[in-house]
Amino acid sequence: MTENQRILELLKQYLESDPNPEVQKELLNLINRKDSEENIKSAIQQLIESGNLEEIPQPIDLQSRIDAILQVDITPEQPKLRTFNWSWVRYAAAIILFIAAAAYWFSWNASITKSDNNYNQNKLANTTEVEPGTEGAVLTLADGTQIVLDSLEDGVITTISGAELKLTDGQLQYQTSSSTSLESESTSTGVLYHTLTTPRGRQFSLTLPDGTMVWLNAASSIRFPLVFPENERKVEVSGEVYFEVVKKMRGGKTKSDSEPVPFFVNTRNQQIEVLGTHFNVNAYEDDEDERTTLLEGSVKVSPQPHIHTDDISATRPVILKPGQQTVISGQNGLTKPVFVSTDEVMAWKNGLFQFDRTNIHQIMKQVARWYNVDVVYKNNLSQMDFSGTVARSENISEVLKMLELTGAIRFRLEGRTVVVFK
Amino acid sequence: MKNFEPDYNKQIFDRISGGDEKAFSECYEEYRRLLYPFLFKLTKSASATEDLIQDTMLKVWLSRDKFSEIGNPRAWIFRIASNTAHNWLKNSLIRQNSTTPLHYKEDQEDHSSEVFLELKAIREIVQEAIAELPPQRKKVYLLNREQGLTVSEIAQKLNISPSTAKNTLLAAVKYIREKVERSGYGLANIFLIFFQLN
Repeated sequence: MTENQRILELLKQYLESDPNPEVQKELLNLINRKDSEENIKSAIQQLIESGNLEEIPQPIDLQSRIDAILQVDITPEQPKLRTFNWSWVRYAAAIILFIAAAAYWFSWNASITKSDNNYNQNKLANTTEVEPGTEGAVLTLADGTQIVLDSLEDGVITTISGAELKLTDGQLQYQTSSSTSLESESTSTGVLYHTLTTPRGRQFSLTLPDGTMVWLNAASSIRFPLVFPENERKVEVSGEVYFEVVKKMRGGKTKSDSEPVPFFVNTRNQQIEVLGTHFNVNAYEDDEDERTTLLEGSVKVSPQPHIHTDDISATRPVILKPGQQTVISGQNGLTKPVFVSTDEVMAWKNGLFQFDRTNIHQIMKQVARWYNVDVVYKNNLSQMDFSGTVARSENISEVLKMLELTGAIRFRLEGRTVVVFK
Repeated sequence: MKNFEPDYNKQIFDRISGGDEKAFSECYEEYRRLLYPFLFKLTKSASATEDLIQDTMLKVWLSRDKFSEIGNPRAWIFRIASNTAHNWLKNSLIRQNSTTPLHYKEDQEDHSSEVFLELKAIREIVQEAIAELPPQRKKVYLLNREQGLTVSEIAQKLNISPSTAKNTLLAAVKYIREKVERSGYGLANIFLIFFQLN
């Protein structure tokens, strides 16, 4: 067998669902040799060309990927501020919204006349309706068993190693009957991890084994152990998650010996260390930036070890004060803490969409996650920003109508796809 | 499904080299369809697949000044995709064979987060390059990219021949591409893998 044939053979095996370690080792050896590079590339090209046309998944947000390329070589325009708001009569009851919106009075007051004029011409093509998201999630147990929590009645769901998983008022809770047996079990078998995942169009909350409360926005997940080891609490999250961490002391011989047990939240780019506080993490995989916002107490945010930036200071940990936010991206590292509107950050948990000069792509990402729709852009709208507030309990058409009222943008709903155009 | 015969390819490439965004979007969708099956088998992650496709197409877009020299656009794009895939595979293999904490190893899905497009950085380099262009080239380039004028519209507006307009535009694109390449973003390897061995 020539090297070319061998490479092709190895690549084919690698493409199988579970490549074995031998194949990986051999490929690694080959790929590290400069003189094999050309052969490997040719083999890959051969495999691409001989590929059969298969059914492939519908693209999500394809247009924004394309737009990102097209904007690489264009001078950015001055960002334009657009505002939208809702019909006061219909939402009169929503006092909280009123207060939030009052702040935007001056900005939307200027555009409201234009909006009213445009409204009749710009009626949303209301072919279908999409209802808002609901409570629900999927729990994946350590053994891979999946439990759908959307429609289960309150009560005990399952018992694992002496811990009862219970639904109370739609919230997931752990009840450990005997913590000693659990702890010995976990040390003998290694820590068992569960994952709670919300798909798009679902949100959920749970109480962790230590009493820490966790709220998951749509399209999010948390990986946590059935029981926390004695001296550290660690979870991993993606998407958007709000934590209310309870303080926990490690037992010492005397009271003065006892120390607080740290709680760690890991995302792809950062580690957040807390003792007992309230904070929100926004770390969606389809967003470059991850945002950590502190509401109460104190947290330390560190970049994950793989983050490297030109600016060394952007890789140093930062400590947040209440009301502050830090942003991290793989490219730019960690920003200095700044004070932000925590109302806006926490709007999702309070049942609102709330935007303040928010880019249209960011707005539509939130809409896509909550209504489980796909978004297609007919025009390049990446410079458009909007401000305003809408309840998340509304159907999608209400949200889109609010945006249309600015007269700057239009939508067409085709099944579960929202087409955005000028 | 569109017919991706050479004639169609030539035509659409000609439009892209004139800065036609719609033609580029069409091309993107077609090549996404062609590249997806292999890249998905390779990465086993939908988002990593989309990242690699985007990276490939970014290179295509930035190299639009070279289209007239390319005899077989389809093979050329596949070649770029092969380079991109090769890079990804190399980094992935190195990572899988290094010592990482157990719970990170399990997360096959997370590959995409380490695959990172340096779009912002490239954009800055492009801005610099645009600023350095001689006045006429700059004018033609900005009319095309910012105001969305076609080559013939530019020719009319500036009272020059369409072929002069096109050549001027492509000279500007070439200057920008070469500047991006000189800045270390070898276009065959635009995306960086944010993963370092300890």
